[in-house]
Amino acid sequence: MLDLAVCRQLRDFELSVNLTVKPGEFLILTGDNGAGKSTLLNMVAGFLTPDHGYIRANGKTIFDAASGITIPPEERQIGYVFQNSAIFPHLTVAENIAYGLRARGMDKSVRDRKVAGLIERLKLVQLMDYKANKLSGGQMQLVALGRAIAIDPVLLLLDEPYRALDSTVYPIVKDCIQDIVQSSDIPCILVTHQVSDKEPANSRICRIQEGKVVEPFTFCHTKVNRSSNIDHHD
Amino acid sequence: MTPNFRISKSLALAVAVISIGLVAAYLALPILALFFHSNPEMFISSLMEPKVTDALVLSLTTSTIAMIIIVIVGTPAAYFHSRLDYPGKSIVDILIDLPLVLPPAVAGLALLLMYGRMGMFGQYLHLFGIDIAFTIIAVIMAQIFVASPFYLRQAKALFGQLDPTYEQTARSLGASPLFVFATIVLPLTFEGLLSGLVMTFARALGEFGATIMVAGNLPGVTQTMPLAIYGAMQGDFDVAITISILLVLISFGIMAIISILTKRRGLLA
Amino acid sequence: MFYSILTYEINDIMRFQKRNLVISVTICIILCIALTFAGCTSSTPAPVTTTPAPRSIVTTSLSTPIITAVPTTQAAPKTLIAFTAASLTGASDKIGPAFSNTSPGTTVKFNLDGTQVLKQQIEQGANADVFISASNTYTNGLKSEGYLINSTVKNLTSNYIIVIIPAGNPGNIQSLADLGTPGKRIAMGTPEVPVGVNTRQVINKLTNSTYNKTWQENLNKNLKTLETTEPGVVTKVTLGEVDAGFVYESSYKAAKEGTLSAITIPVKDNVLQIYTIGILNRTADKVAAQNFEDFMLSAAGQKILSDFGFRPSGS
Repeated sequence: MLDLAVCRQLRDFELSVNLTVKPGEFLILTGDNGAGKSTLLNMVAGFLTPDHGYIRANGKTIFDAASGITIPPEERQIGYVFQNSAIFPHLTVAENIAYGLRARGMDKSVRDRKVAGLIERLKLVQLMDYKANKLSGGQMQLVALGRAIAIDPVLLLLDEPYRALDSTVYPIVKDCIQDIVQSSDIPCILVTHQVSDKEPANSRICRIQEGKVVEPFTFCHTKVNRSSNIDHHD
Repeated sequence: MTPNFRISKSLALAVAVISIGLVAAYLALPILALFFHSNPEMFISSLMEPKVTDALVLSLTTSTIAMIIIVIVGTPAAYFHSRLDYPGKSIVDILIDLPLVLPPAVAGLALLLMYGRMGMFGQYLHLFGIDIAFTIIAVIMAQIFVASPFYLRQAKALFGQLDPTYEQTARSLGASPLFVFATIVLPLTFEGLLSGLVMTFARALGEFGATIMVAGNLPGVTQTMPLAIYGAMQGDFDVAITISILLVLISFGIMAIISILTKRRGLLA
Repeated sequence: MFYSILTYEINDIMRFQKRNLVISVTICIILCIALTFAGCTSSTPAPVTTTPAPRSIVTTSLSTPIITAVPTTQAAPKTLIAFTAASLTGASDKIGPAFSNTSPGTTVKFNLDGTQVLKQQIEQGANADVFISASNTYTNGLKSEGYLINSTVKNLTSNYIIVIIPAGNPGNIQSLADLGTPGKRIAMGTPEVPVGVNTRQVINKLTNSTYNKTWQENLNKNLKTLETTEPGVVTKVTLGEVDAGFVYESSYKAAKEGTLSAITIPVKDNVLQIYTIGILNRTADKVAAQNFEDFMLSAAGQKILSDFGFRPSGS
C-alpha cells in the first residue's frame, strides 16, 4: 500500500499531489510533459525531497516533513525503472539483475540461484552473459524490470516503460509488468503517454497538469495538508 | 568526372600528406636528434653518474606521490563538483583551469611567497619548525599545483557526462553512495580517468619553472630531472642528453603501458 | 557528397600515383635524416667563420645628437647584442641608455645569464657582438675555440665574494663561523656558474686557513639551493628564504638600503674575479662593437660599474 501527500515548489508551479495505490494495483499517471510526473516518482524514490507532506509505503513512513523523517533511497526498497532503462553498460544481464542483491551483501550462491530464477521467468536465458550494447530496447526493459524486482521491492515505479519500444515488443513488456505486479502483490505507479482505451481492471488513471491533479478526485487529488499532523484518508 | 575534378582530388591528397608529414616530422625529428647525438657507451656511462640517478629517483618519486595525492583528493572533489550546484562553483571552475594558463615561474614565485619561510602561511608553519621551501615537499607541492588541472578537468568532464540515472538506479537497488561510486561510477569512467592521470604524471615529471623557484636546485634533494638537464647543459652536455633521453624513454614507456592496459580492458569489456 | 566522392577518388588516384607518392615521401624522409646526421658529427660544433650573418636594422629615436669624444659611425640605427654576466643586471639598466647617448643611433640589448650559459649559447651559434664574462676560464675557452677576436679581450672590472644576510637576520648569523652551525640555510651558485666556482674556492681557502673540515662539511649540509645565476642567490637571500648567501660584493653594495647586511671575507681567503669584455668574431658591426667596448672601458662606463659596487679591474 502506497499512501502519499506531498507538495514541492518547482520552477514554474507548485507540485501538489495526494494519492493512494493498493497492492497489486496500477496507478497510471499521465499528463503533459513537464507536468511533474517524473518529479513525483523521484520524490517517492527519495532522489528529491518534498517541501511538505508525507510518504508511507508498505506501512513504513519513508518521508515525513513534520517529524523530519527522510529515509535515503538505498533503504526504501523501491523498484525504479527509468525511461532509458539505465542498464549498467559494463555489466552483463545476469550481473545487472544481481546488482541489488550484491549491494545488500547477499551470499553468492543464494544470489546466483535467485538471479537464475528471474532470468528464466523473464525468458532472458540466452542473453544472460550479454552486455547492454547487444540488447534491443525491449530486452533492456525486461532486464531493468528483473533487476528492480530482484530486491523484492515494496513498490514499483515505472517511468515511461513503453517509450522506446516498437509495437511488437510493447505487449510483451506490458504483460510482463502486469504479471510482476500481480504476483508480487505490490503497488505500482506507471507514468506513460500511452493510455489505451481498455486498461486492465486493476489499474486506475490519474492525470496531472502543472503539478496539480486534474482528474479524478477520489483516490487521487491535490489537497495536501501542510500542518504538522499526518493526514489519513481512505 | 571532368579533369578539373580529378586535379582537386590529388591536390587534397597532396595537402593531406604534406600537412600530416609536417606534423609528424616536426614532432619526431627533435626527439631523433637527441638520440643521434648520443651513443650507447656514452649513454650507459652517464647513466651511472649520481647526478643522473639522483635526479631520476627524485623525479619518479615526487611525481608518483604528487599523482597519488591528486587522485585521492581530486577524484571526490571532481565528483561532487560535477554533481552539486554550490555557491562559487564557477569560481572553482576558473581556479581549476588557472595553472594551465599561468606561467610555471609565476606559480613557483606565488608558492614561495605563500609557503616560504617568510611566506603568508609559511611563517606560521616555521614557528612550528616546519619549513617547506627547498625541500622535497616543495617539489611535490609545485608538481601538484601545475599538474592537477590535467586530472581535475578530465575527471570533472567524465563525471559530468555520466548519466545520473545509472547512479540513481543503483541507489534505488540498495547500494550506498560509496558502493555506487566504486561499482558504477569508477568502472564507467576508468579509462578516461587513467588518461587524465597519465597526462598529470607526465606534467609533474616535466615540471621546471615552479620547482626551481620554490624548491631550489640541490642535487639529491630537490634537483629533479628537468632541473638536472638545465644544470648539466651548462657544464656537461653529455649528461644533459642522457637525462633527456631517459625522460623520452620514460614518457614512451608510460604511454605504452597505459595503451596496453586500456586495450586489455577494452577486450574484456 | 564531395566527401564521399573524395574518398572514392583518392582510392583511384592512389592506385595510379601510389608509386610516385611513395618515392617522393621516401626522398623527403631521407633528406631529413641526412640533415640530422650532418649536424652531429661531433659534440662540439666547429668554430664559426668570419662571414657576418645578415642582420635586421632596428630604428632608434634619438632627439638630440650628442657630441662626444668617442668616434661614432654614420647615422644608420643599429642594435648591439651583449652577452653579459648576470651579476651586471642592475648596472645594465644604466649602461644601455648611457651608451646610446654617446653613440647616437646605437642601442645595446643585454642577454643576461650565467657566464656558463652564455658560453654554451655562443658555441651553439647564438648571435652576439660583445661578450662580458665573469670567468677567465670560460673566456679563455672561447678564445681558444676561435669565437672571440682575441686582441679585443680586455679586463673590464672585478669583484670579490661576500656573504649576505637578509634584513632581520632570521638565521642569526653573526660570523662566518656560524655558517658551519648545523640547521642554517645557505644559498650559493652551482659548480658551473662563476660565482659558484669562486665561492667553492673561497670556502676551501677559509677551511684551510681559519676553520676546519667539520665547518666545511656542515656548511655544505646547510646548503638549501644551488642557483644558476648570481642574482638568483641574491633573490633567495633578499626574500629571507635562506639565512645567508654567497654573492658578489657588487650586489651587496648596490642593494637597497636596509634590505641586506653582509659579512666580509678576508682578502687573503677571497678570490678576486676579473671580468673581461671582448668582441665576437661573428659580429656584423665591428666598429659599433668596438665603440661599446671603448665606452665600457672609458671613465663613463667604469663610473657606472663603480656606482653599482664593482671594483676597477686593476685592483
